[in-house]
Amino acid sequence: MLSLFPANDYALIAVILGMPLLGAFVNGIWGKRLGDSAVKLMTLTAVGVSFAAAVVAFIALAQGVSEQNDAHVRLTWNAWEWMHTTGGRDGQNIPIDVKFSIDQLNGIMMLVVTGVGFLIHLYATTYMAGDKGYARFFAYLNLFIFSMLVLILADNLPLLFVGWEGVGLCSYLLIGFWYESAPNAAAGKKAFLANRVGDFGLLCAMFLLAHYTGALDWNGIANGASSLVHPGEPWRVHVWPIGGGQYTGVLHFLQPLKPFTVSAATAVGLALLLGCTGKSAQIPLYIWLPDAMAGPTPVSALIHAATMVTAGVYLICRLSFVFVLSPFTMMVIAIVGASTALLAATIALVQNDIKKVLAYSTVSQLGFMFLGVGVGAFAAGFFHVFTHAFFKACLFLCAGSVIHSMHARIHDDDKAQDIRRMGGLRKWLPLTHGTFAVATAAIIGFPFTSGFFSKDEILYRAYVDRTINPMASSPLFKHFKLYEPPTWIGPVLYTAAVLAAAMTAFYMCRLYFLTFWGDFKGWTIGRPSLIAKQELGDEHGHDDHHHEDLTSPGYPPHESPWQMTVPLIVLAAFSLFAGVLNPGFGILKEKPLDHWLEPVFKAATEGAVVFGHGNDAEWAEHLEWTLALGGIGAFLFGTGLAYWMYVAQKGKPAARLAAEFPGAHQLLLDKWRIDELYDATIISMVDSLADTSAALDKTVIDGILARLTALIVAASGTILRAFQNGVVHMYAAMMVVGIAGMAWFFAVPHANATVVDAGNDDYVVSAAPGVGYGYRWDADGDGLPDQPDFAEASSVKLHLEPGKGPITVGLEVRNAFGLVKRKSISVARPQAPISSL
Amino acid sequence: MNIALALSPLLVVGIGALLLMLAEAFSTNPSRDLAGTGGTGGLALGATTVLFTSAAFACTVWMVGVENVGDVSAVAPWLILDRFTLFFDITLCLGGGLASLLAGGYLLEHRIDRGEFYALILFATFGAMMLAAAGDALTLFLGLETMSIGAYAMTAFRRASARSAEGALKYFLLGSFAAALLIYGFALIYGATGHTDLAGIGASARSAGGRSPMFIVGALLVLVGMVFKVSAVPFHAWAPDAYEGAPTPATAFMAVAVKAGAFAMLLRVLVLALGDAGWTSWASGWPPVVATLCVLTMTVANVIAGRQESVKRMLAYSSIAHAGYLLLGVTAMMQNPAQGIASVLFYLLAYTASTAGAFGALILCGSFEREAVSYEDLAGIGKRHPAPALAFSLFLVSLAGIPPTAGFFAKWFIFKAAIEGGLYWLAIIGFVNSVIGAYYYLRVLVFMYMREPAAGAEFARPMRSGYVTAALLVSAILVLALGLTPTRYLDLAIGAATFGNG
Amino acid sequence: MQSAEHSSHAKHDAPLTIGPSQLGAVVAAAVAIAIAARFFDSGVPVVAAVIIAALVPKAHGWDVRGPIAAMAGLLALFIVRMWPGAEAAAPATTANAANAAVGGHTLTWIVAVPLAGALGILFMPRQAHATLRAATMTLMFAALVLALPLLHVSMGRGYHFNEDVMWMPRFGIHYHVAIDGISLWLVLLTVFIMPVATYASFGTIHTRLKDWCFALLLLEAGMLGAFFALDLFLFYVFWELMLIPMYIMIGVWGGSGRIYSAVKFFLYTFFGSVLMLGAILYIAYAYARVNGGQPSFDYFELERLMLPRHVQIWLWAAFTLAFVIKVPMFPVHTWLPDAHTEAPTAGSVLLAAVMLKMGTYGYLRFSMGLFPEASAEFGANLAGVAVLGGIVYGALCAWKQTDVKRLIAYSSVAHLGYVMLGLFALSQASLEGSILQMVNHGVSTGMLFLLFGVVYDRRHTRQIDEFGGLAKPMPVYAVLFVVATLASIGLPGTNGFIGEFMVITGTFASHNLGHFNGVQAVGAAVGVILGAIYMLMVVQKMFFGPITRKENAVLQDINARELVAVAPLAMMIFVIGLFPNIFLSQIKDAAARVQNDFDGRIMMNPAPRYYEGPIRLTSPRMEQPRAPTVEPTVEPSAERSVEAQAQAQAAVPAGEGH
Repeated sequence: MLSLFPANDYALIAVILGMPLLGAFVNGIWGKRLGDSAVKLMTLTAVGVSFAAAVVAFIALAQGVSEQNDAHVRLTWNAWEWMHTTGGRDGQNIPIDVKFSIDQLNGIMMLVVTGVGFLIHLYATTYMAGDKGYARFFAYLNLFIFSMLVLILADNLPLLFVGWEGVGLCSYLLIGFWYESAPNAAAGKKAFLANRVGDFGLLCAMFLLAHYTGALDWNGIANGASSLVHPGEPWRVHVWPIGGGQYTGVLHFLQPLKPFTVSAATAVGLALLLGCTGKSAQIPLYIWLPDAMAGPTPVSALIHAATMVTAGVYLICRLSFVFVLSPFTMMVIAIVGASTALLAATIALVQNDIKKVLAYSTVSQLGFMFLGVGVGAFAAGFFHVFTHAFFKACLFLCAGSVIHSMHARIHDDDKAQDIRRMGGLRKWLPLTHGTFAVATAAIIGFPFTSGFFSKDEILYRAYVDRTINPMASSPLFKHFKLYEPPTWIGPVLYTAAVLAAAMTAFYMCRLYFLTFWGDFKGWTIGRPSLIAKQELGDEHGHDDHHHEDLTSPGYPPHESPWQMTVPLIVLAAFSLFAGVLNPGFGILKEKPLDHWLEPVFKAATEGAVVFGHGNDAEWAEHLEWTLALGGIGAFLFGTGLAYWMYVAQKGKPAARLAAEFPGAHQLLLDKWRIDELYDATIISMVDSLADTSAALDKTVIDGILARLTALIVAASGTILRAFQNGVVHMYAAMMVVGIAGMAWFFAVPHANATVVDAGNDDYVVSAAPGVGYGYRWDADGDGLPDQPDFAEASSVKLHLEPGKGPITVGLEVRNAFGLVKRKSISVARPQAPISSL
Repeated sequence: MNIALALSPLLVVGIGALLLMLAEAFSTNPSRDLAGTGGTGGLALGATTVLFTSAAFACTVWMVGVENVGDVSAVAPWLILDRFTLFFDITLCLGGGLASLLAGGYLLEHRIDRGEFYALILFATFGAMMLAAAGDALTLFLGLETMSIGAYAMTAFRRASARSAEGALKYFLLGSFAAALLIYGFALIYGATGHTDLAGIGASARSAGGRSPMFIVGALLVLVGMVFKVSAVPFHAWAPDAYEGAPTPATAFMAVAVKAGAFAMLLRVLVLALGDAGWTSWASGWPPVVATLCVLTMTVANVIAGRQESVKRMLAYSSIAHAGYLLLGVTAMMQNPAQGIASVLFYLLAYTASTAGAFGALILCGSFEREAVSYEDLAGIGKRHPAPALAFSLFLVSLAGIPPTAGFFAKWFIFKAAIEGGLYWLAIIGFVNSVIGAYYYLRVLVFMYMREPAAGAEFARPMRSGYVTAALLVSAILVLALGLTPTRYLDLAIGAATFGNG
Repeated sequence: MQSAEHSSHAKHDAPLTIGPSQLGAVVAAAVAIAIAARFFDSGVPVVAAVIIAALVPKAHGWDVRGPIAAMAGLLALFIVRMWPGAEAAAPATTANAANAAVGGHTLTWIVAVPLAGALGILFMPRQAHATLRAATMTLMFAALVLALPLLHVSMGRGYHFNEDVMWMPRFGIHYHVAIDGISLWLVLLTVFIMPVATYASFGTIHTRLKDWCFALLLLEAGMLGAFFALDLFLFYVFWELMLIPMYIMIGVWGGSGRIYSAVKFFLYTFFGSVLMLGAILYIAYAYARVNGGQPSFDYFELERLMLPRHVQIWLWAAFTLAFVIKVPMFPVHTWLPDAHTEAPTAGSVLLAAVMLKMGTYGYLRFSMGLFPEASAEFGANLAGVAVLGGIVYGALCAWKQTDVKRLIAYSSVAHLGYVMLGLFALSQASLEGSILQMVNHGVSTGMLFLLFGVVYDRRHTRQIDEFGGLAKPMPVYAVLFVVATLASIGLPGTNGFIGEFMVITGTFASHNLGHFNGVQAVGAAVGVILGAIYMLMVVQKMFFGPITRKENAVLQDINARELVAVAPLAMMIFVIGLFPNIFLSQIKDAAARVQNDFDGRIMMNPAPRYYEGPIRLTSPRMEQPRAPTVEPTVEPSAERSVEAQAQAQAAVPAGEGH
């Protein structure tokens, strides 16, 4: 394989990337002409071929890895020169090419994206059947696959950014797919803007990296990464005061004596983190993801669960060698991850919309991934990305199947997704139920499912790992204190994660039980009632709905066709068994995935990630089983509680709790009112700033520069016009004033003088000439005139030795009318020219 | 060759004026009514011919070389025959000729075509030419009065109109006042120095008489008289009323030829009589006075012009404002007389073409009993009658000083002279003023092209006249020629910028 | 059949049909590929053309697909031929040198064609609309074709197509035109966007068409001349020549408040330019003082002047004021929203696409070229203005506009903030990014205005609230608008990203912003967020959600003429976005030259960085094209045009008067 496509020009990547793009192109422009079946064919072919090519590429990669004894292998393809920029400390040229590479890390991502993507496409071809925008949908979906592949295969940060924003765009388009409904479009906008805030961070990271490392491709950044941590002044980013305390103006006392600086690595890391929180829906930018569920369900599965949202984790893994340079950033990532996991889990406890629960569960699981990579367990975090892709895609697709069947009865988006109206669905949807149960087992950490392994690994590593600056031992830092995370952080993170895991178990089981167990509660809403009829008539104009005979009870929910269930089964199988790739607890001699990824993370983790207790490996090993008890306990507790509440007690305890703590319940139902908080703070601040700007622009800026100027000119015109009143007396008076002014000027003497350097330390002071003027000088500066009477001599010469101070020369002028005026002129030697140029 | 050739421009106009008067008096045109109107078409042509012939003679003399046409010092110091004079002869004859062409169309259309108008134009032009040539206080005053009286009479030419009479009366009263000051000033100077010739006055500046208070007072009065004639603020008040009241060709003549004559006088007197170091001192001589007048004139005239509702009155203020720009060139003379004079000369030439053209376009836009005066009268004309509108636009763009027209280069040279002379602040004020100026010139374009007449109002109905069209053609060609190949005309101006034939 | 296609949202799948037209297309494609293969060694461009033609939705006929295919083919050809390194294969370097040295009259022709055309239009009958349109388009294409040879030269550091003729010897005024890598793309942008805007305007401008064509051609000549001119006087003449046509265009064919806007536009720009005129005069005569009394307006001569601080600051201020008004930068930007709002579509397009670039180009060429020390002294502070007053404030103001064209106008303020920031920062990348961003802004904002003109023609309102849900009745239009929006907010892969990215990274790497490069780069990056806010707000309100007004439900989708006009811009968005190196490779060396010259001057002078001492001249620069040694003569073509103009002006009154 490698002989056909050499590793340094691996053009097969063009096929992997090109097929989805072709699909998007054909479906987008030609789709309507082709018809739905051709669109279906095109889109499946595109992703299928891409997946096949990805498998081939992966095999080639594996071959290369084994040939090169587990080194970090890259299959690269340089498509064309793209652009360049300036960077590095001496401003060299940084070429930025359209260049792709496959290595151990993104090889797996690539397989997941194309593989899971294919299954979801297959599912969607049926799910979306009959939609007006069928071709458009698949054009977007293919474009998404393309963008995602660009994101993960890119060999440099700006190219990654193309995919990064590309998936954001596709997400925007797909969330607002049913754009005729205003909330959908708004949700799309919200997603795009939240992502943009993150992109701002990424943009900042890019220019920082370009400046400090002098490169933007992975290899170059890795080579230059060491300059991100340096005690020297130019290598540190001044956060406050801006400009590094160089300001010397009036307000200089506001500046702290010691400027607040951070290392470039921390600045880059935090900026990248902002980007990652945007894409991966972490605090503070997670708010868009739940709203994004407005899009079609396959979109939620593909974009908002399996692939796009993991891009942030991917980026952290990709640039792990940058992040570990700043233990502070690593700690922040871990804290962000843990708190997001907790926060989202609490919200998910009480949500009633099946997709919302899954959305918050996604946010929460992404929090786990962040926690994993934040503590330096990059492989563990990435493993969770991998397993999560399967079980969460499966869950979403099951949810889609459920909604599909509910929708056939209810025809209302909101009600069809409300788990309070479901129940007992396992009777009608056996396949969906089974796969949903499997995927739920995986996500709640049922022992030996994939989720169990990946989550427990993260919990364990959160407790035992500790990140330190790999540069700490460098002699450069002998006199420089580097940041070290506190020791208590591990247990705290572990506790938070266990709590979140327990909640996960609870809400997922609640979802499962409410949906599939008990009695079907959808009969009542399916029944004809006047209100329902009116609602239907008002809210939905779909043609086929009008024919429905609302007086009959309607069909029961039904299982979906095979195109939808086959992906469910495949994904469920993976959810169950993918754990064998990286099982913990010494089940396999060596963890295959860890081993596979080791070359990628080796550079990052070496010296940077150690075990607590002074890098005590034995201590860490001993704790593995103990700490696993926390995860298993969380699973047991959450599942048991859910069973007790919703199956044994049929939901009564939950209702009682809600009634007892209405405030807390409502707060959770309102998602902690974080959206409202943002609205009230940042968004309203920017909003009012914009209002102020617009008003300022209209009134002050335009008012002063344009209108006021015009007004002044016009008003003075009006005033001056008043003198032009047609009365001759007035005209004569104006003339007289003019004559008087001129007469005054000629009658009054004007004493002016200029000083000219005549050379040889001589200076000539000459008075301005005037008609009939006489001059009297006081050249020696004694304050008395040198000569008794006024004379014609209009200039006087002075001799000024070097180093002598200024001389004050007195000048008296008498004009023809005998009026006299005095003036003092100070003559000083000019300073020597600064340069001899 | 003899002196007659050197004097030929003057002689042609003088003799032509007399002949024209005779012809007018003895013509027995049956179409003439009791009021004396009718049948003057031939006179307009005659007057124009006379003036252009005179200009042609002036050109001939220029080409032959003034120093080659005989002993020009024979008439000195009363008349100085140099290239400066010839340049003014050409400019004045051009202005007068354009005015009489305009009159040929205008008077006929508005039923006031009495023949004496052309004689008045010729005499006034004669006076202006004499003024431009005058090297002595006596001939200067003679020329001034000949010119002014013609202008007074032309202003009052619309006998039926009260505004015309009112304007003429104001002009006459204030003009006489100023003339009195001027002649009184010369009398005082004569008393102080014993000279009436300008060169002699200038030469005696270092003498005791030249430094006496009497001389200074005299010079002050002369200065006042002259700036009155150039209508500098605050001695401008007569101008808008007179310009507005006068029939439009007369307005054009006053704005063009009278102003040019006055500037010729101003330049001569300032350079020849008040040209020594004391008088040209920035501290105490005339430059700061002229500079102050310049700033006042530009600013006040521009600001008021922006508030006018009548285009004719706006053009009147615009001509005052242009006097301000010209005074900038005059001020620049203090450092480098040749530079300043050349810029003023070129400006006058460009200004003559543009202003005469603008008034001509205004005339063309109106017709009997529907004379175009206000902005509203011009509304929509660009759409209905593109040709006059296009011509009008060209002249206004030139007046606003936008390339590639004559006005742009005129401003360019004036400001160049000012900046070279170090008058930065004056130049900046001038630049800002030209922005204000652009506003009201463009306002005409706004009405012509972008507005429709108010509901119910009729569209303007342009008159048709070969005379006016010819005048516009001549002006337009000049405006473009001066704008596109300014060097050759500027060479002329520079050649004319020295007094005497040295 | 077509209507059935449209309503086929139901179950039935229309099979792919092959009709005579498709068969014909296949045959034609085969023939064309064969021909192209003979000429160009590859059928790439033609294949691209055919594919694009085939891909254009069927709703449009061959009248649309043909031109679009042709454009696509030309663009593909452009990419293939212009690819950096493509000329390395051919021994083109010597040919380039020869080209540069010969110069010739290429540039003169490019200006002369529209100028002469404008005068010629005056003689054409007013009612012959079809002839007027055809003549105008022909002239514009002629200018475009004449400009294409400019691409054959590898620009490098120097100036090319140099033509230097003494015009007015007494004043040292030359007719001196040349282009370098900086002006090259702006010139091409101008000749490229003029036919686009003109073509689009012909569907909507029906009144006073002759005047319209005249104004367009005169405007083109003025803009091209200003980009070519290397003599300050000549530059000023062309600079002013642009004003009147644009003033007329806004004032005559504009919206309801057109007169106010036109006058405001004129007075703002005129105010700046008269002060610049003063500065030009001063600098020319300052030169005369050290050159034996002979002034010069030649850029290369004046560049050699060493001016002390107090002089330089004032001159720099006068020049810069003129340019920042034109850009426009805060706080002298308020004419722009008014002008854009009221201008007819083509006027807005040209104003945004080319005319605003005059300011940025002027600053780069003249303010920075002639007064480097002053530019360096104030650059850091002005960069702050560009970030806060342009990028941030402009975006915030844009967000709050209810009028779409006003909003796009404020977005221009924000986008040009990037350009100016890049110029102030003056690092290699930021400079290249700025120059590219000038072109980008022309393309994407031009496209936005063009597209907005489409709905404006249908609905005659500019209020955002008047629209809503347009994506349903106008799907193709919506797609194009979203594409333009994405380019405007700088989505990677579109042109906007390249410029913004290079400016931001370049700003951070800059040494010219004192200690504030970091905060300014961050501020510029914030603009990326704000840009998305307001543009997406517009898109959402206009295109998504339910249709709120009855009249919007029946709007026609974009028609053939509009699509053909927009298509080249849409293509350029991706061409620049994906293949920026085509453009950057020509810009690169010129930008490096600017930076070297600038740094050279700054480094040459000691601590206060200003030259202190009497005005003096330095030696000429290496890249300066030598003036011809022949005896200076008056340029003959100028002579001819004088007569032609005089005749033109004279003939019109004569012809109409009777």
